[in-house]
Amino acid sequence: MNDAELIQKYAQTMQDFDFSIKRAEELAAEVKQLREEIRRASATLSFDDEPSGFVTFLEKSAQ
Amino acid sequence: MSQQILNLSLTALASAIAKREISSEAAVQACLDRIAVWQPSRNCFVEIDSDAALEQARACDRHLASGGTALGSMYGVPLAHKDMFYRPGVGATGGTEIRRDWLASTTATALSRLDQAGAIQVGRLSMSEFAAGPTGHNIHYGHCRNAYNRDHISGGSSSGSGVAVSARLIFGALGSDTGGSVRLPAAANGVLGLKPTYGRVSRYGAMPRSWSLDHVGVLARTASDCALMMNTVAGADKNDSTASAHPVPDYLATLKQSIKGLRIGIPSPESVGVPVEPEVIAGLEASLAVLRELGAVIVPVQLPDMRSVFFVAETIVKCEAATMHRDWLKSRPQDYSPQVRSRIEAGLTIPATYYLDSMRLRKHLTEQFLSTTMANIDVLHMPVMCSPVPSIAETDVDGSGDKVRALISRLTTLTRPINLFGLPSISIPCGFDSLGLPLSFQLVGFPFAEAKLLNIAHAYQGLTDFHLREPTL
Repeated sequence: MNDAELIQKYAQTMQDFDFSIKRAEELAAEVKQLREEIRRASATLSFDDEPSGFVTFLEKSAQ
Repeated sequence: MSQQILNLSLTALASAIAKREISSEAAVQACLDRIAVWQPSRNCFVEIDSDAALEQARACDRHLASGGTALGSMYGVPLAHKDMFYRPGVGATGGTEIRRDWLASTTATALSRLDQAGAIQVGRLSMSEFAAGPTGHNIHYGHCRNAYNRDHISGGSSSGSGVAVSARLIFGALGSDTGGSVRLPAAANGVLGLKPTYGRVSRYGAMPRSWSLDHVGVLARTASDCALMMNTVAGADKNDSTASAHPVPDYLATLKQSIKGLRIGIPSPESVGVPVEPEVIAGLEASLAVLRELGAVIVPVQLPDMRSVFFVAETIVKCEAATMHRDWLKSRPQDYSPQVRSRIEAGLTIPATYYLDSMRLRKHLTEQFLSTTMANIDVLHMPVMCSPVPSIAETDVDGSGDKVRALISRLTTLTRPINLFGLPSISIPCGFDSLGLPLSFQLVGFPFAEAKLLNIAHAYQGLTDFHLREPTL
């Protein structure tokens, strides 16, 4: 199964959406790019980094 | 008289109404008369509420005539807002077909605070469908067109807010900014657009685009007008847990401080990561010359990889949008434009772990940005858009995913990352291109440094007259 077929199957099974194989190809390319960027950037994250830290950080960083 | 009223700033008009030098009715009528002339060619209003606005204005005038004092800082001043702020029993289409006949049942906190300040809402302003487009295209309600040239984009998604303020149809407007949606239309139409710090203004009762990246902001012609609006709408809100309790300063009080010695960072061209066109560069350089004249110190800095930050923000927007749109995408796909549908769909297939990693990266990337790019400066100065304001035809892409993504990336590469950082940013007009369309730059500040951004904008406007230029029909 190639990436487009995988996306098509995933959308159908997990989200109940039917995408044409042409649209699935576009989505596969888009998601692959996002996935690669996130994986690369995430290499800097540690086990203890959590999503809710952001707002507290903003408050603390006010000058 | 009518034109004289329309040329006043929001703050000047508020003062004149409070002193009974100008009646609120005259101000509202002047706006309505001008709206009638401009609306056919610019399509910046979705709805104009003439009768209610005039009735409210007359009530203000009666109160003042009977010896009362102005009941609020914007008493009797006509405003209008992006059509996504809720008011009970009133529509808020969000620029969508799906909500064409929908009526809200709550009041947006930002609207409620403007109401308390005595402002009058004369109508609801055009916007991109679901606040999801940077150009002002809208297939459901017609495209909103640039105040300076109707063949060019208004910018989006707060399209009508930029156009109506620029064309002097109203004195100020609310917008929202998830990836540049206040700053882009402000820049395209030559007005100020302030996207505050994440949480500075409550999002309650504002149609969501992406809960984590949505910012409610203000558009007006002068820094003091933006300051007055911010004084009114900023602050904690029990209805929005993300609205910050950080103290709200008096934004008007600090406007006139000297900016001598202020350190303004300018990114090296290579670190911007995308080519900036010569006319934009000329505008940026001219603005830096003015800031130098005001005593600011210009400091070269390096931006992080903005493209990478852009993708982290994109992942968050797509996942959150797909979550809120899933049912409608399934049941009413035909009611979305192909462009908007294609932007949301990818979020249906991104694993939750990548979304959460993006959210975890947010603090990390912001921390890095503040400790490197912003380490030795007070504010960052950079383009809003990398090209002059494009034409509507040039940005009229079909629904294919690749073309839509290329357009979004082209227009929002330098605005969207600032939403991920949650930092305040203001778009400031700095000239006109060879076609007579506005050029602008943006300043980015530290968290909750809106007062500093407004202070610089005020000083800048003191030496320039771009904000006084008036588009012609």
